[in-house]
Amino acid sequence: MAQTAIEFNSVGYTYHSGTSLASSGIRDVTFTIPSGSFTAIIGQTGSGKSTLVNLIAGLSKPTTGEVTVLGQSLTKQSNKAQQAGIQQSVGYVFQFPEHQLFANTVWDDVAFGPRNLGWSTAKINQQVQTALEQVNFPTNRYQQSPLELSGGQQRLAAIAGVLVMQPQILILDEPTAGLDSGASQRLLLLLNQLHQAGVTIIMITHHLEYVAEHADRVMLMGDGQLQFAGHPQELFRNAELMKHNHVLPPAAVQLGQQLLPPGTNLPLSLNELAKKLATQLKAGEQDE
Amino acid sequence: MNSQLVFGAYIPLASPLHRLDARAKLLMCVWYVIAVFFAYTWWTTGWLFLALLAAIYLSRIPVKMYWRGIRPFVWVIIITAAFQVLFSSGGQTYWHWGWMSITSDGLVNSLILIYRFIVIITASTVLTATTPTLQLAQAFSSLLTPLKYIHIPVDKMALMLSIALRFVPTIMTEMHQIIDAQKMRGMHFNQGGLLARLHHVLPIFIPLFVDSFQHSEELAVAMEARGYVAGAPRTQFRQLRWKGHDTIAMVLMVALTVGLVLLRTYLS
Repeated sequence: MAQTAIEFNSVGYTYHSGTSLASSGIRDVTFTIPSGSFTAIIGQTGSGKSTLVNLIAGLSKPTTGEVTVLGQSLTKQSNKAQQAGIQQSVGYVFQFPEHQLFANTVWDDVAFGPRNLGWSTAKINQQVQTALEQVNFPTNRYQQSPLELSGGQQRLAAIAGVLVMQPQILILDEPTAGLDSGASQRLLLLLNQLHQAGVTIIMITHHLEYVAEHADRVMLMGDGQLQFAGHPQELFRNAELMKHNHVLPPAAVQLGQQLLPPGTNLPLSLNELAKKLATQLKAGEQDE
Repeated sequence: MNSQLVFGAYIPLASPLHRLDARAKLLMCVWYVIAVFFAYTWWTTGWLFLALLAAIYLSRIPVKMYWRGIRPFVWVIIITAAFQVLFSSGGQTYWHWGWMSITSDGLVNSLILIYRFIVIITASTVLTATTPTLQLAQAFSSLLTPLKYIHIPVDKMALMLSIALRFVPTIMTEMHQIIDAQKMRGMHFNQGGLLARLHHVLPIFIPLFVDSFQHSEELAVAMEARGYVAGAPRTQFRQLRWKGHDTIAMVLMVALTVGLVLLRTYLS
């Protein structure tokens, strides 16, 4: 097993703790995420997904238990400096990250993070260039105002602004929301490349297809608690659990469950399903 | 993920105050604020403060929440009070330096000022915390109906008010998210001198303004798509109803005022 990137030890987080409006975001959550894995977090709205990733990012402190991110631990007693330490080693692409763009040019906006960290100009220039190339941002638009870009390009610029910090852990909250299918595919391809390069990826998503095709681990949140953590295959096989949490398996899995003999490995993409069905049909022909 | 408790946000509970008619509460709040300006003795200020405590108790909202409402204003209050102390004259002089002096009148005035600030902010928080914003705007337009006859666009003003109030929590949530996003990009708010801190405002306010413009455009389109015509007569889905307990509340306000007048006259 690879090294552990993130560890939660009976972590709870309560909003407005100590008041009559206290409502619990998550309760008694324990898990580990190995370094270099691609984890998808799924669950209904309000199930605690955002609370969970805010804790991973060091933006909030647990009200109970202990969070450890890349060896840095965070408890209720931790101070702002400890939170900042975690924030620096984690990249967080918020939902609709283009809402964070503010600088006059794309280049300056991407350089915002590195400048905050006080890197040398040479290093900043080099890293900004790399980050923009990484997301395939059109070279002729580096000096344009972010407001003049299309929605998809704005998203890329914002993501470059996070990647430029070279985070070891990258959190993405619904990164494809509002993108057309082509842009979504390119974004997922980029995430795959980052994953190959060893970055630990954590993605909140409602697209079970993405979970099936890209993630090697999935965490299902429900009612503030961790309902499941493991391989997507395992989750999809557990129809009861999925139904209980109002999650519909992706089309390929559903078709596979209907068409393939019980006990076979469920196909995670339509391609895989097609291949499996083809082999099955060919085998059937030979039998006759 | 609406985790922010904002000054003025509605807190849905089932308290006697929540059940009152919005018009009654608005009237009471305005009435109370006016009354505050007539109180400057120990007895009268104490009397009004007691009434406020009763309202807080009846609202069933924990005192801690009200404290959170006042907290953002603490510096404003302290600075204003300090000015009041240093730059007003009269009564006994305790200390002076150039044109600054500390006098007994200055101290008393600043105490009254602090009192008024706190009491008025808390009273309006009681109002906004127990009344949904839409009802508040409705109450506002209902109470100002007479002004329509002198061609003041009361309905439009009420709509503007309700839209403004409606978007306060939305914009606060967005602001917190933008702050979080910039924090993750290495921005530290509490570092550096005044200039550096002012510089930190840009990465937050520029996106916030862009978002707000987008919101307003979208809202305008959505309203037109649903057939909104500015100035057309409107009906309300939820009617405000004046009930027995609203009258009782008004009677209590009269009693409060009578008490205030008596205390002013006989115990000063």
